[in-house]
Amino acid sequence: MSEQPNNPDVIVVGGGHAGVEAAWACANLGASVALVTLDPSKIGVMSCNPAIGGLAKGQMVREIDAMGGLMGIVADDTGIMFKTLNMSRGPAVRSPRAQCDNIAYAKRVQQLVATRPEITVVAGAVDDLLTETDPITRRPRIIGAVITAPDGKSSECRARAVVLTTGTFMRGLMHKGNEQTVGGRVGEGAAVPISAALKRMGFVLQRLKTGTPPRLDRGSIDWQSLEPQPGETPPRPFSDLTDPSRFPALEQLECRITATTPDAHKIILANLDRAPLFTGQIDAPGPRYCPSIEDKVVRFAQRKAHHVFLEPESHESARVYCNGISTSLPEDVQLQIIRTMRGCARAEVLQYGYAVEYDAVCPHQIRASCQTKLVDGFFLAGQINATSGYEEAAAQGLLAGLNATRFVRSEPQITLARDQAYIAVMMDDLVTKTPKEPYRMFTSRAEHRLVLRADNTADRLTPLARDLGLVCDKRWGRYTDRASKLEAFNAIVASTKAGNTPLAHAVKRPRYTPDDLAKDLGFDAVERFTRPVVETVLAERQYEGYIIRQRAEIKRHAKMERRRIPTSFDFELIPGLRAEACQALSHFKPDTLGQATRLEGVNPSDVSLLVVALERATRRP
Amino acid sequence: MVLGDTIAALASAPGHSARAIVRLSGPVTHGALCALIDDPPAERGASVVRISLPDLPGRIPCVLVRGVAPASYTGEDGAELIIPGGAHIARLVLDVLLGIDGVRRAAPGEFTVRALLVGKLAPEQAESVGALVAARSEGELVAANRVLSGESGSAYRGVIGSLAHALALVEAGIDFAEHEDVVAIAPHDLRTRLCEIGDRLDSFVSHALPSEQLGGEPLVVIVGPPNAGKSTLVNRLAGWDRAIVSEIPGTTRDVVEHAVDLHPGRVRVRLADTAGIDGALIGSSDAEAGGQQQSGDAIGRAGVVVWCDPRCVFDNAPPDAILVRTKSDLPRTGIGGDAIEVCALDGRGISDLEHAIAERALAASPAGEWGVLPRHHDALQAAGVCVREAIDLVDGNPGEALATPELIAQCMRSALDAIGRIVGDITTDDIIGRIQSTFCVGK
Repeated sequence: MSEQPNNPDVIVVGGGHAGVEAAWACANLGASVALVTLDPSKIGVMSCNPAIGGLAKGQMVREIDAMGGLMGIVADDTGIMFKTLNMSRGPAVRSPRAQCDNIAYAKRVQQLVATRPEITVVAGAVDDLLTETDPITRRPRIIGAVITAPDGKSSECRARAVVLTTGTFMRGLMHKGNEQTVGGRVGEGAAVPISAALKRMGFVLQRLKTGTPPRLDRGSIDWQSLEPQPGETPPRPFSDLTDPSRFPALEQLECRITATTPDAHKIILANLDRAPLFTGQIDAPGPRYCPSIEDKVVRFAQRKAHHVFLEPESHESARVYCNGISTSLPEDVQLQIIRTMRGCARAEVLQYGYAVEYDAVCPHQIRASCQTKLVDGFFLAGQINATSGYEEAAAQGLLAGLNATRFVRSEPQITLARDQAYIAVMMDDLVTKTPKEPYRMFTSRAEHRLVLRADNTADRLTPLARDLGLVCDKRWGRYTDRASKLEAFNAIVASTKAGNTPLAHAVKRPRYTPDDLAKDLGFDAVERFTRPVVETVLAERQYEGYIIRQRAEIKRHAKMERRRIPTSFDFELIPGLRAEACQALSHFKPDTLGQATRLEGVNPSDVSLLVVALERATRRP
Repeated sequence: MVLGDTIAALASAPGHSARAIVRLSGPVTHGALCALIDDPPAERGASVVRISLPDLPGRIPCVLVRGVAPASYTGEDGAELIIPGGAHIARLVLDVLLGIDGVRRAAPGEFTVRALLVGKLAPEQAESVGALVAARSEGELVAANRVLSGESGSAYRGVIGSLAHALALVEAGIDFAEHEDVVAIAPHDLRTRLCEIGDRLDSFVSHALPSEQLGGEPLVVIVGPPNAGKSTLVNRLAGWDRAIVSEIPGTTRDVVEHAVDLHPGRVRVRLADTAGIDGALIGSSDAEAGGQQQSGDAIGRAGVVVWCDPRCVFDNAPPDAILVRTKSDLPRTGIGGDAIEVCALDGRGISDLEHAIAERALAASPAGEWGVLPRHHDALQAAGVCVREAIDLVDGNPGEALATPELIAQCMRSALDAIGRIVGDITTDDIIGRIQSTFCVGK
């Protein structure tokens, strides 16, 4: 499969979660793809946490799945512990999460990729991109990439669209104590020339940092002495395609919990002069919400302990992931810290924690479609857009793959609205804000959170994705089946009385459960209509009043939200516009008025001026 | 509205006055002034100039106040001409200016809108300029001025800050539920915060002006038995030496309301004339007549009730009514008590009655601690409703932790959005920033 393809429709650079999802979306649309990666055996690798989903991220995995993506399917096939987070809260903030067997995960991704004749995997590095000036639009456009094979031979590959997903590999530099190694992931190299190529094309880059904790040898941990963290029973799959009777596919495992100790904190504080994060060796910003253990100990000095979740990585290896102590301290310090933790007195480290600095493109240079503003046909997805997380990367990959294919076919680009999907919330945030750290999704980022639930992703996105050509017949069948069940069950709820009150009112009671429903209906609705359908109906009834109010609000802003600003619009020519606002508008070049309203430095009166100027520009003969 | 061209308007009231003001704003200000003045000053400041007008011999001395972009009210080049002799000469000046290419008549409020659009004024300040100009009482003037000075805005922003902080604590409990270092806010703590915020919003709302009907005036209802002299009294109050500014059809067909300035410049009220309705029957259970019902409604809505009876029978009068013995020129037949003696024919006691009404009207709508304009009132009230809704949801959470934090957060966001309509929005990004600043604080 590793061969140079003849003029693929799309070149996808990078085989991580963004790249794979991009290639998969192209393939779903029938486009031919060259998936170029440094090492094809590393396609689909989970570089850090062996987990998929989590708060807000779980919703995104479900959205990816609803649009024909890969991530949910693979997580279901390889999950070893499933749990719905926030189960005690309302349906809008419940999120699925799974621990996955990370060896099985990468293997499964590679297997699935291999089933697609549209995808050709190419081993190599993309060192440069080929562009030309479009004779009609007079704008730069992509025409291909220069691929350097492992044997050092370079060749040109032509394509009308390129999706670049460099992850942490673009000028990746790993830190562990004062030890610095070039590479994006332990044991692997870096992608260096592409960084300079992007700069030559006019892109502004930034340096970001992330980190990973040590992995322990499970046999060296006193596992039985630690409190178990069981998963949910029965486990629940991510994907609408997963057959419940064959789920879960792998034997389920337990995680355990331990904690850091005052002794560990003392050791850390005594060794800050050897911590790259504190010596100035690393100055790129990392994710604040995912701080290293040395950060936590310094920032929250009053705390005597921090939880550490010990998560087995795979049935096929002894590696245990230490969730909670991401670090770039020297190896000897890491070992001392670990051995102060309960159950870890004799723990052996299989891989030490490290930090990695990498290049990213400042995301104001992309559109909400993932296409760059500078070069037509050129798309970016994943950490290169200053995001963090597999799910965030995969979601962008899907969108980039979709839009790259549409670009090749001269079809309009697709962007989603903030009330449609978390994916859209993320894209909109990326193109209207300057990230000060790698961007991670939270439910609180979504003002339409009550609508953007994990239970209704298919209702929100599958019909649209079907229209776009992303959804296979099997998934569409599942969707139409669900839609008819939803309708039938809604009709029952609307017409049934629970005692003296209509059932439609009764189900709005807080903590109304499917068990209550079975009692009120006189039959088990879950059994007949399936749990996902019942959950959606209950959620919609519970939130009904709020959703109606939100819909009214959305409608009021809809016209303004979607009003387009011409690409060539010159913000400098708006009379009376404040300098700060003019600078922000010229910097971000918003595509819509909605985006303009959300720019920092732009206030409502600036938007009024912009509206007037746009009005004038369109009226001018 | 079109920006970027030059606008001109008469800025003083039409009619006779000692001076009139013509205002000009936009890029051709200087060119326009050249049509009136030889070599007009182009720099910022006031100067005495002489203007020449077509068909008028000689030159008229005026004061020219020049504004230069961007340091002017509208942020554009601009000028004010203070012209002697009232509106007539001013109109001639304006005609000259409007005859110049690129100058057009300003739309109502356009100078302020321009100031708003270029960021010279915050939205709530721009709004208060209109309110200042239209202020109909001292109280409103105080309110508008407070908003213009930014005092109210900073008070609102204080509430926004408290709300956003509380929201961040709720959101942290949702988004970092699995995070060891974040302890979700306890229901009782959240309740305390929300109640405090709700109380502040309520206090803004209760200090709104005027309280009885926003955007309107305190309603003064004149009631009494037939032939008590109510109509004469109303006419006297409304129409003798002060103008009836407008005639407003009442909310009921038979009650006619007049907007009346009492002690001009001090307080304006709406005077409801219930003439012809038998006040003696109001409040009795036997209120079969529609008119009496309507009159009763008027009393219900009234800020001030003036109860007239030449016989001094005040048994049915509400306890806080102003009691008036009308026709005081006639010999009294009952016990007057502390009734004001009024004779509408010769004006006796009218001034005392006016004072009494004005006092009650002002008491009914105190100027208050904060200036609250009508639109602000609505927004603050909406925010208050959302906060109370959030409190109800908290109360519906019996346990140690919030069971429906997403709904509570939703209400709090709606409250923030409502206040945001006055002083600008707070974004989800602001909340995220706050969440992270509350991180690991061990609350």
